[in-house]
Amino acid sequence: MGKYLDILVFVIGGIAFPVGVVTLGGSLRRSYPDPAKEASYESGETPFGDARIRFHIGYYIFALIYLVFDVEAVFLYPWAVQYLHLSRGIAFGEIVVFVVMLLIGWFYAWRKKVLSWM
Amino acid sequence: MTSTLVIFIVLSLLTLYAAYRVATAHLITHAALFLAGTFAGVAALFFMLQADFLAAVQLLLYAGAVMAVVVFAIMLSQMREAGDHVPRWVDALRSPFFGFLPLISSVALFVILLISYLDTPWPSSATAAAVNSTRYVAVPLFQSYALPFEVASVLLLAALIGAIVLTRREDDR
Amino acid sequence: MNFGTVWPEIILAAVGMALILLDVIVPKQRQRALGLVAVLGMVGSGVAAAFEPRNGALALGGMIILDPLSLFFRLLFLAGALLVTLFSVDYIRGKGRDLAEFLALVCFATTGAMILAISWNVVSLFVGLELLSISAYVLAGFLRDEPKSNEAGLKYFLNGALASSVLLFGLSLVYGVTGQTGIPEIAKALVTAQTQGYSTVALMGLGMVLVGLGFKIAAVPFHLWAPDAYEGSPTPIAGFLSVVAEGAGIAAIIRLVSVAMGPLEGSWGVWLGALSILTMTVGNVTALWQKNIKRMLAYSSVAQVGYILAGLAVGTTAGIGAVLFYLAAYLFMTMGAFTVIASLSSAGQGNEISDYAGLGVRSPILAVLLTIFMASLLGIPATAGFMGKLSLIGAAVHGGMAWLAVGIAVNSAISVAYYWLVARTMWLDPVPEKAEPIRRSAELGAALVVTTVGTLFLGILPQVVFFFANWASVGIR
Repeated sequence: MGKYLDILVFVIGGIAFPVGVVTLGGSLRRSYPDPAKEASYESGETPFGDARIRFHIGYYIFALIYLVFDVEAVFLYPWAVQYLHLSRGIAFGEIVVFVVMLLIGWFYAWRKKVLSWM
Repeated sequence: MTSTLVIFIVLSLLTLYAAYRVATAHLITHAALFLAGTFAGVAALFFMLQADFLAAVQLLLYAGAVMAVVVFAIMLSQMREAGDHVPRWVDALRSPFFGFLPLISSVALFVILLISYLDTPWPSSATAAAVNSTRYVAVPLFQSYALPFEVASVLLLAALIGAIVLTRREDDR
Repeated sequence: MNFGTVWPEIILAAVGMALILLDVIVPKQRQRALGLVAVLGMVGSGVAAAFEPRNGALALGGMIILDPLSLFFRLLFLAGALLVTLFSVDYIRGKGRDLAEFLALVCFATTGAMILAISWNVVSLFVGLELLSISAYVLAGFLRDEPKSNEAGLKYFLNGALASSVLLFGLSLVYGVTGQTGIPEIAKALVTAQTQGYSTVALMGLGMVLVGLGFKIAAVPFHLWAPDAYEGSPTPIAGFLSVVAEGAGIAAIIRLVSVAMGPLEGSWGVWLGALSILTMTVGNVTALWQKNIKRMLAYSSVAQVGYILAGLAVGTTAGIGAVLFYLAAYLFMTMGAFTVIASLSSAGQGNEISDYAGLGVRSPILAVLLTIFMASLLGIPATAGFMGKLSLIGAAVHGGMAWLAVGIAVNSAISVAYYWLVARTMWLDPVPEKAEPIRRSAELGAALVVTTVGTLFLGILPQVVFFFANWASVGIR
């Protein structure tokens, strides 16, 4: 368990810092709300409409493709960090086949224009 | 009571609470947030079992990618709320198919599982903890389990094609 | 690592990949030719399967076994996929959908089924099952513009995902008790586990595995998704689900339940027998009320699963052999019935049984063929179904479970009613006013010839397949 202690410290520190800063700032400053201040900050653009609109279903494919490639990344990680402990020629061949199969899928998605933005 | 046990109990209670709130939250976005909390709690339990590779996978895939898909699905649908008419649990229990029958069957399953788990002298594997847990996954995965690994890549490809088939915009064909 | 032992699977997966690459190269009008690519790939895979060793050798680190049972299931699934391909070319193009994606998913699904059937380890078995299932979910919902197909895909997906998770939970319990993933190692470890008192959890694992696979093969009471999935799916996929997906479930039961968990035997044969009787009775009785022919065939295939489970419940070599023979017979007769339905719906006819009125006049050939397939599903002598039921009944009587034989006989009697309804509608009901002649394509014609010849051949000269099935069932442990 000991080796996770630093992670725990980071997690606690990471949560404490923003929470602390916002609380501290809120307790020190004076509050004069007006409509312009209450509006969402959109990089200088004037916001309009509701943020909670319904998005086009076509965007869902991005989430699904991201999920597939995330799973692929999970398989690549143990291969990469433990490569020296594997029988190298075979392990290399295995991962090449693995990646090529996913590349075929990516190529197909690209050629079928599902990756183009609307 | 050891400190490990205390941490385990706290983590389990947090995970269970988050899981309970997934089912009972009124806003579907809140349910999604609690789902992420449940996944993170399970990841923390994996950490406690010294399975840090699995914990990282749990965070990356479930708290990360699966949650992204869930949030996308919420954005794409019109359903924002489970509704104001969510009944109090006392009233909900009266309905057979949404109340007491599922409750009875899940409690029964839980009790049966618990009894048989406690009844079983589990074979222990004390040696696993000493090994680097990524190596513990990687070496079998790329050696004896090479076939399932390659089949998994075909599976991912099939899933990708399936996702394209089912969600592609027709006007671009 | 010698991947040469899985050439059939490699070829089939490669054909799937080639199909999606060809999809972006070949212009839309010429894509009919992709059907030929898929057919050639499946034939090539079958030839490769025939050349693999079949002496029970283990390969790829003990992940797979090359025994006669592996050969049997490889050929069975390839034959099913081949028939699906033949009769989906027109169907899918007629619906305006992309043929290449469809055939690629059929190839991937069949690869998964074959991996499952040759697995000698629960990990590769499960991954194969998932490859089959995930491709099949998409195939069931392939007709995106039809709400019924969406419903079919969604219901199949939700039930299938639940089934997979229950199955995996069960396997994890078994792994927890035995510490093994290899099928023979599990069997060996369960023998010691029984003496040391782990068997409660192992039994629960077995129960969950049976429930999960029960969902996959649509055994009662886990069959409720089947009618909706069959009705809404593209008709070729309804055939695929009932032949390849269910066949794969049966293969998994043979490997997991009869072999890996064989030491837990005791009374589960009786439980499986009870499940079998329940499944065939509910399937047949519910089929009596169906008005849609695809739903009727769905319930009929639930009933057929009940017959097949009877052979597994007996569990003897003869029982397993009868199961395998029945699967081969089932392939031809069910696929044949779905092919006739697909030819008719390609010609614009509806799927209600009343739409079949006067078919005997409008298209005598199709009517005769559908009658043959119905007769075989019912079990009339000189058809494949008769020999299949005969061998199941024989195995049940010799295996000391005569009550199963009685169940099969009673259920066959019940099923006369709904098969007769279709036959009567086709031959005796008057021809509707605006009846059109029915046109068939070359591919559909080929599929019809193969299924008819298969159904009659297995009924009249069953010895070859009997020999193969019995050879495959000897020494599965």
